[in-house]
Amino acid sequence: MYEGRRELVNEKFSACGYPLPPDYNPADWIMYCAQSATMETLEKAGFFPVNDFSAHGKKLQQDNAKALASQVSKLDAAAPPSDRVGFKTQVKWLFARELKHLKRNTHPLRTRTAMTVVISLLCGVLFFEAAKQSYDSFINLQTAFGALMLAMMANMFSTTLPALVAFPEERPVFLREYSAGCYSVVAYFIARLTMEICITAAQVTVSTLITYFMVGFTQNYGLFWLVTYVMALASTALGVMIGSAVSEPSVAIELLPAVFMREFVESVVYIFGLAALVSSAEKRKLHSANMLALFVFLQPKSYLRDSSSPRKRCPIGSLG
Amino acid sequence: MPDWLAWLTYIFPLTYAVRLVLVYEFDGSCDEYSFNTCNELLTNTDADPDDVWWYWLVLSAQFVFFRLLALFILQQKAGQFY
Repeated sequence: MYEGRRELVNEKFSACGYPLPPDYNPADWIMYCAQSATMETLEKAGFFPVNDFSAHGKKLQQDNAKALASQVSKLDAAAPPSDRVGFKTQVKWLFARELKHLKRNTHPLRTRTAMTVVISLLCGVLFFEAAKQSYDSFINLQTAFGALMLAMMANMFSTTLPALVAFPEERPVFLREYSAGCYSVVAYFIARLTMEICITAAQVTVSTLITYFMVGFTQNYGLFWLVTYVMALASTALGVMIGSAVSEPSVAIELLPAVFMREFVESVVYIFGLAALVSSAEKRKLHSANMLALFVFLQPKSYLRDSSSPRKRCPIGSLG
Repeated sequence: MPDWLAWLTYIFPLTYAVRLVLVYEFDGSCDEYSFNTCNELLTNTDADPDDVWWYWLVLSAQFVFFRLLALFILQQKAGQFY
């Protein structure tokens, strides 16, 4: 039915009217087609072109068949019958695959890093050395509070969103491999968790380094980092929970406003209030407060006004 | 925010994390000033310096709880197919 390279499976099968579905193992797809369609349909679809093999070709075929048969019998004799590899091996291989994903598909990682740096820098620039002034004055206190809120929220969104989308995205692959008995749910879960713990730590470190030293918070850096990290982990857990409950990545994204809206609206109201306060206080700060107001305005308003099509203009999604 | 949705505040990790950083940032310096806004800010956000251990506990518990729940859901949903 098919002989050739794995990469060309889709080409051949598409030509015959059976395009390879996304996230599908080509070998599985070949088996599926062979089993689900009748011989006549497959012949009509052009899976078996009429070949007249030359003598050389025939001999080659026979040799191949012989070699294969002997290999199979050797393997049968050597391998002890076992259904599944151990739990540790499952986790190890799943984690290795996560690492490979990370290396091969660098786009999500780059977006994540860029967004983290940009938002943290924004927070740092807008609230530059805000916490270094005396908290004796109301404005300084409010500004420091705003900086803390923005720093925490930036961390929450940029760590939770990727996790929220990751589970539904990997779902087709996971379900097929799970049903084939490749690994247990716990192994899959632990491999993902380990990866997320590492990435979140790196992300939180980058973000807190920028915000902490630019804003100049007076609290202990280690504590600040730890609070942010634990919060990021807990939010990620919430995101993963939602992500594993829905089957489509887009559904997860659409659910997100409902989940996080409260905090967002609250902070918008707060930051607008802050902008008004600061603008009446100081000319220099008016500028940065306006910039902040603009930034916040661009972000959540499209959810508030037009919730019917959040995906088209998904501002929160772009944070991830 | 309507009252019947107020409980949502308590399931968000951000709530407790913000209280923690607020306590760590302001608590030490609050009493230095005669101006009372500092303590007011902590009161308004329900950030009580004496409850710091409790915020930490809730944050960690949320991490464990949501993860376990996610695992459970994943296991349930994976079993539904094939």
